[in-house]
Amino acid sequence: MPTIEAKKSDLLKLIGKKLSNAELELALSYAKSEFEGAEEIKIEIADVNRPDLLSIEGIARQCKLGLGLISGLQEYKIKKTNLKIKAKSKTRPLIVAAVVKNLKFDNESIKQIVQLQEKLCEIFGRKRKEAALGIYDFDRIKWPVKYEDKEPEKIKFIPLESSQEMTGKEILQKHPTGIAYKHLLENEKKYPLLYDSKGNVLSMPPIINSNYTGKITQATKNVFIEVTGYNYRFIVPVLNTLVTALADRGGKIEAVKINNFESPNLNSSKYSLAIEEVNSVLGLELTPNQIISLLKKYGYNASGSEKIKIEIPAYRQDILDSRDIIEDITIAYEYNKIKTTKPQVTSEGSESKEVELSRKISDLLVGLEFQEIATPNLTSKEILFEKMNKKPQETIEVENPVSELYCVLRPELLSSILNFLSKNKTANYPQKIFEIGNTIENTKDKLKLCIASTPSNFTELKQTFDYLARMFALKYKLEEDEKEEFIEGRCAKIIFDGKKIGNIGEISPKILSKFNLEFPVSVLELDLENLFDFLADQKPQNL
Amino acid sequence: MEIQELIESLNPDERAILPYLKEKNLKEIVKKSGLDETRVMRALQFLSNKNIITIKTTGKKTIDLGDNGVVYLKNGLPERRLLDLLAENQSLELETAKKESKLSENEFKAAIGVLKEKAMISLEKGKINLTAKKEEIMKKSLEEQLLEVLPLELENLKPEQKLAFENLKERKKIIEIKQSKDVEIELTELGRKIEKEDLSKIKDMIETLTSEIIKKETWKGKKFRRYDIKSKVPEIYGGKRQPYYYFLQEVRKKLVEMGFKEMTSSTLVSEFWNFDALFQPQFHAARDWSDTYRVKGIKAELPDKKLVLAVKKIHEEKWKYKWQEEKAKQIILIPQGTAISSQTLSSLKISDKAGNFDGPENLKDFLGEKEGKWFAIARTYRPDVVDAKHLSEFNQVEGIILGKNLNFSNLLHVLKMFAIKIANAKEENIRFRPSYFPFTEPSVEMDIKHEKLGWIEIGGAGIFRKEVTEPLTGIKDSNLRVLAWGLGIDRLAMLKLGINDIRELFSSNLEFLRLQKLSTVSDSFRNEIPESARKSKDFRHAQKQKFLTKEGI
Repeated sequence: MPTIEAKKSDLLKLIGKKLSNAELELALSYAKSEFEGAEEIKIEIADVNRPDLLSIEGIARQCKLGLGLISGLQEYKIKKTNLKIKAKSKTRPLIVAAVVKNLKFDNESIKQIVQLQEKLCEIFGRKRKEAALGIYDFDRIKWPVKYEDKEPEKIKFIPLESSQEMTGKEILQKHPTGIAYKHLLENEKKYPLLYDSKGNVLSMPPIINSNYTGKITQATKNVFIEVTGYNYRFIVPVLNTLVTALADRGGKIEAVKINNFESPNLNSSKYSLAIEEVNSVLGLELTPNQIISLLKKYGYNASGSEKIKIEIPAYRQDILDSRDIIEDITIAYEYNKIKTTKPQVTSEGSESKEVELSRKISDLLVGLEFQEIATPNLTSKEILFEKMNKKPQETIEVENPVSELYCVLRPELLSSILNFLSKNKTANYPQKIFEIGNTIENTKDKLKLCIASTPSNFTELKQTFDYLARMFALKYKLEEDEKEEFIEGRCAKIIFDGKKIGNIGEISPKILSKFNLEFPVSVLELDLENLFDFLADQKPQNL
Repeated sequence: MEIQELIESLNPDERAILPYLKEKNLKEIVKKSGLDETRVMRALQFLSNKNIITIKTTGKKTIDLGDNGVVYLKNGLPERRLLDLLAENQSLELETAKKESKLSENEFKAAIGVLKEKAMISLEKGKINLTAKKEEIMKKSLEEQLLEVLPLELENLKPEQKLAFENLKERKKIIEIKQSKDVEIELTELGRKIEKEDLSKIKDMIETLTSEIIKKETWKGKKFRRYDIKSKVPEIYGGKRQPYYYFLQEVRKKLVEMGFKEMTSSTLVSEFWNFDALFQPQFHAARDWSDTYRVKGIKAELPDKKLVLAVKKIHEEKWKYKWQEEKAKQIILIPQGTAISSQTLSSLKISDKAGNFDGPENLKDFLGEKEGKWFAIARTYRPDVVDAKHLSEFNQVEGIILGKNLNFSNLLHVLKMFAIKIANAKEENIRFRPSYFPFTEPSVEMDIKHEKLGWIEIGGAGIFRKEVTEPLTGIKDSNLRVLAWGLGIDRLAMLKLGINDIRELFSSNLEFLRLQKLSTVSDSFRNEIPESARKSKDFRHAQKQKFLTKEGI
């Protein structure tokens, strides 16, 4: 979940009202956010599909609406100008831009703008790939501005946080920001460059601004903003979020002409919503007027009766469907005021056959004084192969493990059980344990049972299995088996319906010492998969 | 207890030692009774429990030579050895002195310390100079004198011996203090009365009831030796369900009672079911490297073409990008239970006419489903570093309710029922908050008020978006809705079981499992929560309800 850092006083100044912590908590719920802290606060934003809420100004706007301090669609005026950008880049073809004047930056507002720029590019702009945002000192730019591709060697300027002139190539190789984002450009023949009519470079998107124009200080009064990328669905919301945020801090927005179209576009979009749908989804009986005032409380303009005509603000680019608007109506209504009603759905509850069988087996084993244990399905190659004295076999392995201890899915339970025993050498004996757990064989899940007892012998486990089998009226045969992990001559395979379904045996001392165990261990491992159908049939007579 | 009853409760060993209690001394009793010491001690303990005797353990502290003390008595204390060396040389470099004295590092340091304290040497520029006079050197120190006369009782030390003892006590293994255990036995008033009784008549009492006695009825007319029912017995432990699984079973029981049918999950799932079918775009940050475990080397088969095309179409239309089939085939370890719900929904044959048989031609419709409730308790996986707050695999409880005209008010009702039935919350301690999940709209989160922790998150929920429901059911009907919910069951279990470290849910400590109490859903929260955790919001969010991936756009 994205988190932003802010000052509570700055947030309250933007909201324009003094609020207690409880009031602020409620106000923030309109922005699906929670805060923590006293003056230095952290705000956690649940809705990651709302770039406008990545800004403290956008959060404040939603709070103001919810508190009734403002209502309806917020208009942002744009002054027309003759400023022009000639855009010809093929490498990173799309650009949108705006100018915001009359700004009064202080320490906190600069911090917020920098944070917003970073969050928008990282979270919404997918680490600058889909949207890279530049902010410049407008007063240092000689218009018109060009946006074109240039050969890396021919690009030369002093980037931010540097005192030396560098070529495009050098920036990617030497500048820390260049190194961090070089994968976005390094395979291109030409790099996109933004420069003014005097030849001063503004930036090399999406990597870095120039030191001359691309630096914002408290002295900066007017800014030029641009966002580049490949798809308007990413770059427009980023621009609109930033422009409206600056306007909420008192900035005056001015337009820029990019080739033939005007930017920014802060026109609202239209939507028509049927009243029945709202009431049907919410289970409420709202009147058109109620719905209209709820919509206004969330920042929309709305009018009409049967069908409500809605104007969606330009900073809201997340609305894909009527449901998105219905949720906003619900938030404005307040969730906790909704009268809840029982759904009328007839259904019969039941547990799965796997669970039912596991439960029966567990109850029987508990009666035999076995302790149930739970071990993870993810395990290590060391436990699975090295300690079991086996050659590494094909298993389901994760590509991105966090730890070697949890990197493969186990195909059997035995190694997990022995590993458990090895961690309990000081616990009182006898130790009688079992697990019914998931394993993976050939990409398929298999439920297995493993029982272990120490100190113990073959007879005890055979008795235990025989008891289970009798309780389920399961007819089985035992045949001699040979397996690496068992003592030769003390291992049986269990045959049911012509198929092998498990093993009983005494663990070989070779394996015991690998697990650092000092007492004899006997085990039963049983594949439950083949037993479900059989046991389901047996149910009425036997349990 | 009456004296008679008391006498009848004496076991054979107690009776055997009774005549010798006057000896007051353990060894004597052992000798005279012919029983071994352990049995005598146990019998004495029983007699004392019955208030027949008092046992006084008088302990004397004796001091004696320790391991090093034995050696030093023979070879001289380190300070003596250094002193002898200096007596020959008057002055020595530190290093040389150390080497020639053949003392260990520690011994050498101790020797220097002792001699400096007694002003017998001085240190100057890395040299040791002897300052003591010859007589002083010749004289045995108090410590040396003490070592020669050990062992001694601590109480009886003379003042100068005591001083030497205090000095030596601090040094390594030169002397040791032994606590001797002497048992003094004293008959109580009651004991003296019993002693006078004739015990011969109780010799005939039955100790162990045997099959022989029952069959031959020889018990008739005899008395049974009385047991001391209050005496302590060794603890035992029985077989038991795993506490966390037991709790999950209780949750399952509640859900079944509420009419939910259990779905089963598979560990491996394609991105298709987990992301694409749930309307999460392929460029979503949650689909990147770090949020899910990706499986090496294998690809999944996609489901039937019709569904795949419907999903592709809705993604391209609404999210405006080119949907890639290959990406959907990536296999991951199931990260959320909702990937089971999507598969269940697609497997249903949904029909309005279900249950209404109009004749053989609508048999297929008749057998279909028009509504239902499903749940899963799923083992899910996340690439988190395992610590007190995170596991790389954990359990999620999730479910869906399908039906015509289901609404948000219904969803809140169901959540409330969970809070009441599963979290044992009171209705006034439940609250809802707006939230966001990529596949539900509207979305909600539920908190309940914990006495000590304040509001804690219990579950997330929402109505599946049309973009999810329509492709999965194959039905375009905006009134056919799916309520989807998930519960943060791990945290709930921790609060019920009184666990602060999430790893203990899957504890590999057998003693812990044996002692852990089993908790049901209707138990109240345990209070063993440390102060630090109560204040930390982090704890409330620990292993945050993962019904839904929230990162990314």
